[in-house]
Amino acid sequence: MTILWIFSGVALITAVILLPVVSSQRKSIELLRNEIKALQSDTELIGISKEIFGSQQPKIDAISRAFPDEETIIRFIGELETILKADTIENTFQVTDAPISESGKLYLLYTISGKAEFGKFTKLLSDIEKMPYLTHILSISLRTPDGFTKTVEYSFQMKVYVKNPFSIR
Amino acid sequence: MNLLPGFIVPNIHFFGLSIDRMTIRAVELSPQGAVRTYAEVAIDENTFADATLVKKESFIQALKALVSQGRFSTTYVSVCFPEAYAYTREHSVPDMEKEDIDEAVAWKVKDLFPLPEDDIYYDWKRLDAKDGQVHIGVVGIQKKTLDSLVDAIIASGLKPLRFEPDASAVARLIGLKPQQYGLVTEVNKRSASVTLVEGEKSLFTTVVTYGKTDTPVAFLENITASLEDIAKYYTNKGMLRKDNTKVIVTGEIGSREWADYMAKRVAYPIQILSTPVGNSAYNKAYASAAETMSPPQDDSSINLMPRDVQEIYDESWRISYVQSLALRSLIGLLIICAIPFVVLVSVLMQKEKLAKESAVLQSVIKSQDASIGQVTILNGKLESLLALAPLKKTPASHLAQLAALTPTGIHISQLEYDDSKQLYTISGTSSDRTTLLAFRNALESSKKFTKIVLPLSSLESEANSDFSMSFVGVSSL
Repeated sequence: MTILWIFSGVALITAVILLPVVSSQRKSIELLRNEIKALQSDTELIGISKEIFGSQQPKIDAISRAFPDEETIIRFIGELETILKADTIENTFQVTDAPISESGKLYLLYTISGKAEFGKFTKLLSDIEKMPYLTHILSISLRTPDGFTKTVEYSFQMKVYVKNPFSIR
Repeated sequence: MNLLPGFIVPNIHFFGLSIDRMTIRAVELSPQGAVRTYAEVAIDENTFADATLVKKESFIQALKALVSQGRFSTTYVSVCFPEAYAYTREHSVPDMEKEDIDEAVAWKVKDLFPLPEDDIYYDWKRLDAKDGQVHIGVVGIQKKTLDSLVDAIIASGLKPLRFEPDASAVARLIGLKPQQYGLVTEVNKRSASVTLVEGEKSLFTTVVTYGKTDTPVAFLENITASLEDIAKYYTNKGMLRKDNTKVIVTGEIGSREWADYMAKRVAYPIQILSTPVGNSAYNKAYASAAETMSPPQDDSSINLMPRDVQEIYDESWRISYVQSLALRSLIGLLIICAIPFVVLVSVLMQKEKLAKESAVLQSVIKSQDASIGQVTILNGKLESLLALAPLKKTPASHLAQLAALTPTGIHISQLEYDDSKQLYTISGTSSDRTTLLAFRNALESSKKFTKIVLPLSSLESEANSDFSMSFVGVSSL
């Protein structure tokens, strides 16, 4: 009977000691479960993102191209020159040495001037608008000694937004 | 404690032992009631004399040989002995509590049996109750008969739990109801007996011996004659009728041939008693093994177990009961102690598993950081795109519209455009004031331009006047 009492006491003490431990471990498990749920949700999002990247790649590429970087800016310049040659009689352009920062966005400031038929000049503006880059014409100055029907002297400033960061080489 | 081991501990297992004049037989059944094993050993014809065991040693050896042969799984045994050793009586007492009937029977014993009260063991059982009276069957046996048997059985290593006359066991096996009669005819090689049984109690027994000078035909004739005499006597008393009586044939040579022969002489239907053993010689041992065990105190069965043997069992049972209880309690406590540990281990294992799962997911997500970066960059680009897209619009269409609206008399020599205000400023010459005003109105009417400012100084001259004008382009977005 003594052994029975001893065992009863041991059983009781064991239960009293271990129950809080078990309880705290169960809380930890609950936290882990919640964390796993969040992680699973993130994993699903990543999966969905990958799918979107896969299926919408052409559009994503187009978005990426809208901001030329230090490599693709060359292509932009080439395209701009092509348009200028096509639409103007003569042209010169200047560009800032380094991108200018504005509210976290970087842009290169172009100053383009030259001569062109008035109609070709408006076409030049339209062609710039159609370019797959983010451009913004800030100001235009036209001298039209012969009115809008003949050659005009033009000068305009244009922002070309570039990728941030943009390194200068 | 007045309980037998088998009464309290329900899983106690025993086998049935039948003792005959020349043979001992045993049958063990499985818990499901199937025959597990059986065995028989011959004993000397003179082992018993005057219903007393006289060759104790040879009997003990026979019992040991029987146990060895049968390989029984238990040492507990239920014993049935020849009906001829017992005395069976009927008695009626008022319907009382069991203890009161016990006392009433104790007072009556000396009148019921032809032996001194101190020389017999007895037990009783309820048969039926009617009109406030209980009809009981009282069975007695000489102490010297049972004591010698008990001593030999215990000496052989067995533990007897029950003693009863064999006719009682067979009657129980037949399952006769009260007011139903059976003429139990046991035919053995060297002896036979005819017992009249009503329900489960035997009323009368006669023994037929196969004498040295007898022929088999004479032996058969003697048995049949005894059966006829008993049947005729009790038929004449009005007890036996064709609808309530049958002859039951059992024993070593209780065959169909015997039954057919007796059928010509006895008017009652004859039944060969058979058991799953498949050998009628084992009927009594089977009957003894088949019935559930009850202690002598049970008032629904006969058990002539001597009180002192029962007390030994009771003490043994008490000790084993306490030991068993203590052991089970300890096991229970150990389980209770173990449960929190098991739960803790289980919880820790679960936690470990979840932590691993979490680590795997984190690793997967970390490996996809490039994808997340791509999404972030793309998102930034999209935001910029949405914010800057409206600025991409150039004043090309406004300039074309302005050119179209400029009349012949207006010569524009300079144009300035400020995109931050969408403001156009033009200067030039006008052929006359009317044309200039018409130009102004045309711009206003076009809905492409608004806030047109034409300074009054530009209108001072009637003709060929210089002018300047400003206006704001209306956004078509």
